[in-house]
Amino acid sequence: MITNNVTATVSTKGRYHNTFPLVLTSLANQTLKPARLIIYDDNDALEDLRENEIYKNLFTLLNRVGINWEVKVGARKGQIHNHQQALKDVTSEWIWRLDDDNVMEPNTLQDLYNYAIGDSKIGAVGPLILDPKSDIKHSMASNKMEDIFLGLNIQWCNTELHQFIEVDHLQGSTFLFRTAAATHGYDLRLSRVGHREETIFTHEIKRAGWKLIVLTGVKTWHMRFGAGGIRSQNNIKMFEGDEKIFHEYLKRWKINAAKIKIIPLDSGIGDHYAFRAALPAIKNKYKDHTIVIGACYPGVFEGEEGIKLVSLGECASFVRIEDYNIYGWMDRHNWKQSLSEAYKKMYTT
Amino acid sequence: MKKVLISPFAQTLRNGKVNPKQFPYWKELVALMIKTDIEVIQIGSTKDPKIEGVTEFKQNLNFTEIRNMVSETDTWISVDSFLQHLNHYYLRKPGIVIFSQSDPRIFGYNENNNMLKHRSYLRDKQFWLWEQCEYKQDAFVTAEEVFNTLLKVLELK
Repeated sequence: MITNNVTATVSTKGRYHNTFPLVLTSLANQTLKPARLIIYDDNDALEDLRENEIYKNLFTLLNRVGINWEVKVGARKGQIHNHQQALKDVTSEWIWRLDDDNVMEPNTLQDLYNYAIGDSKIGAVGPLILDPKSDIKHSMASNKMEDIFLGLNIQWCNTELHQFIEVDHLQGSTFLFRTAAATHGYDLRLSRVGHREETIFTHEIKRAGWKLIVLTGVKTWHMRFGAGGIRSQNNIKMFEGDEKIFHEYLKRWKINAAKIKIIPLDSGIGDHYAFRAALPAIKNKYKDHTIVIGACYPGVFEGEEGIKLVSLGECASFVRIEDYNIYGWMDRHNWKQSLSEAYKKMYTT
Repeated sequence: MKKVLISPFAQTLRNGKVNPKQFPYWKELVALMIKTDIEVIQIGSTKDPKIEGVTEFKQNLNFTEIRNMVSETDTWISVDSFLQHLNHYYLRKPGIVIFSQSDPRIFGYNENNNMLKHRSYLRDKQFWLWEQCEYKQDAFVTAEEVFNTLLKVLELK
């Protein structure tokens, strides 16, 4: 099936010969296909892909399944400039924005589109964006703006449940959105790495009165690849500059995003109790934070208020657990006082 | 009749060796207590062996039940393991903790009778894994010494 209501767009850089063919393959295999595909080629050294045997096949395949494709030279100022250009180039009602290292399961567009057209208030819908190498399941994952600094959202977690979850922002570069909901466009002040660009773009859709939905039964696989894309910029300053812009947005949106203090307790029951004895001082130090404790023995914290308990394994999503080993800390500090005092000192100074 | 709670075992080591915190004279100590008409309640996991002679062996209690057991008994005895920390957090009821190579100044609490044979037995690397430490039976006080301290705690001596 083909829909004229959707145009797929993808900005690509450094992925000619690794993940980009996978994107086109998964696009050709969609049960519902977009009538048009625009590729924004952001590579500094352009290649004529029609001369490449793999791409010859892929482009012929796209033609054969009814997807009209075109390649435009990207702005080479970062992908957001190409996404912005797409807003001008696309004339269909919906844009399916794809990342150049994503493999969409065959039902992705069909499920996203069918859900989206069922509610005239929907501005954008996103799938799960899963890394095949890590099977994340996390009780704290959240797409609320208040939890943005947690760094873990529901789209990265394989729930195995088919749910339609209304969210504050979409994370991950692949999603379907209504062109009419995107008149605000992209913030072109962001650097080439475009850090937080999806969050800013999609949250602005929500603030304009549209709904954002994650379909947890729809999966897109993120084929992380070391080279190419925004990682090739390798420039921390760009991320920091983008983060500053994002903080301006948070201020303007009046969102008080929670600071998180992660404490993994990779230790025995007695150590947990010694830690709990130090907890009042730790709470005082981090009174403007949400304290998240990764506990091997959560029963030790029965009745304790003002903390969130997760498993130790879940903490590994945020921190290197071995860096928080109290015995290692005491050893390094030639510790002579009590265990509780060590916990207090470790977390309050 | 006096009632004493005992928590005899520290955690099992991953290398299968005996935990160096393991007091070797529990059987003798329990025998002395029973002979003096002291009721001995052992707590532990299903993996732990029952100490010969104990009045009762309660396995897999939850933390609330253990706390209640400490409250209900006249005193308690353990090796350097979780019970002293649980007691310190909730109750601070004086008990007896049998140390060997770990330092009670770091891992113990002042409200308890921390029985260390001598500081010369303390291991150099107090914070290293117990798997990295050899078991030393002569690092422990005797059953009689623990028993005599117990009698004082129970005011039977």
